[in-house]
Amino acid sequence: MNKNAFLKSCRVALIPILLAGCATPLPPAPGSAASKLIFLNDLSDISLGDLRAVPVNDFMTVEAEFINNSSSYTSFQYRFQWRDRSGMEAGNEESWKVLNLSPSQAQRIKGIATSKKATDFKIELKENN
Amino acid sequence: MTTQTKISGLAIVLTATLGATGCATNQPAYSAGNVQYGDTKAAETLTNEIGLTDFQMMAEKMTTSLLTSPLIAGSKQKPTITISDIKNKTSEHIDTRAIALKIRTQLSKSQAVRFMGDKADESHALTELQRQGQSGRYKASKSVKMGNAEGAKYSLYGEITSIVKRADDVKNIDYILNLTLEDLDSSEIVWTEEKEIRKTSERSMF
Repeated sequence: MNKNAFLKSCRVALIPILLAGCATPLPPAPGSAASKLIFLNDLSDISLGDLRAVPVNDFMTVEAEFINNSSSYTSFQYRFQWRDRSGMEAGNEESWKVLNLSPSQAQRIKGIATSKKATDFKIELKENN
Repeated sequence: MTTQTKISGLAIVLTATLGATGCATNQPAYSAGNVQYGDTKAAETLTNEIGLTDFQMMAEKMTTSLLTSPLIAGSKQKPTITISDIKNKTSEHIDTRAIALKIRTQLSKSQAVRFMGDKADESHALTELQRQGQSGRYKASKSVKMGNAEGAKYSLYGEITSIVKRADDVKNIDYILNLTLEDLDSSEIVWTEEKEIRKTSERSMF
C-alpha cells in the first residue's frame, strides 16, 4: 500500500469514529418523566421509577421513586424546583437533601410546593460530596 | 550646565514624581482572598452539630405537612396561629426561635394561614401602642388603639430532643423535632408532625 492509499484508508476509518463522538443523546421529550430531572453530575447508577404529581389542598405534591441500579451503597442530593404558569420560580428555594440507597433499593421521595402558584416542577440531582 | 538649568531640571523631576504619586490611587480592598460566599442551601456537613441545613429541613417538613393537613383543607377562613414555644431538650445550645421563625416565614408566604404576634412580638407592639397613644404626637383617629388585637385560635408549640451515641470512633446524633398545633378553644390537638435527622461522624485517625 502506498502512502496516499494508506492516508485515504485512515480518513475513511476516522469518519465513523468522529461521527460517533458527535452523536450526543437526544434530550428527553417535553412533558416526559425524564424531562423533570436535572442532573448536575453523572449519576448513572440512579434511575427514575414512578413519578406522580397531584394537588393537595391546592398545593402541588410530587412523589418520585429513585432506584439504585448498582450493587453498592450510593447516595445523592436532590431538591425540588417549583415553577408557576409563566415558568418563574414559585415559593422558596429549597435546601438540598441527601438520599441514601442500599444496593438495588427503590426509595420514594416527596416534595410539596409551598405556594399555590406552583403548576410545574423539576427535580435537581447531584452527587453527595 | 548652569546652576539655574540644574535647579530647573530638578524641579521638573520632583513635580513629575509628585504628580505620578498623586495619580496612583490605590484600589479599595474588597477581598483578602480567604473569604468566600457559600451556598446556604447546600447540605452542610462540617460537624455533626445542628446547623442551618437541619433548620431548613425541619422547617420544610413542618411547613409542607401543615399545608397538606385536613386543618387547611377544611378551613373556610385562614386559620390564625401563634407560636408559643419550642423547647430545647438537647445538650446543645439551639436557638429554637430561629426554627420557629423559619416555619412562620414559610407558612406566611404560602398565604394559607394567618399568624398573630407571639410573646416575643408583643413587647414591640405594646411599645408602639404606648408611643402612639401616650406621646401626644398622633391624632386619636389616626393611631392604633389598645383592645383591638385579634387572638389566635391555634397555638404552635413543640420540642427538640437528641439522642447521642458513641462507639469507638463513631458518633451518632439523632435529632427529633416534634411540633403540635392546639386549638386554644377546645384544647384539641389538630395537627402534629415530627422530623428526624440522623448525623453520623467518624473521628479521623490523623
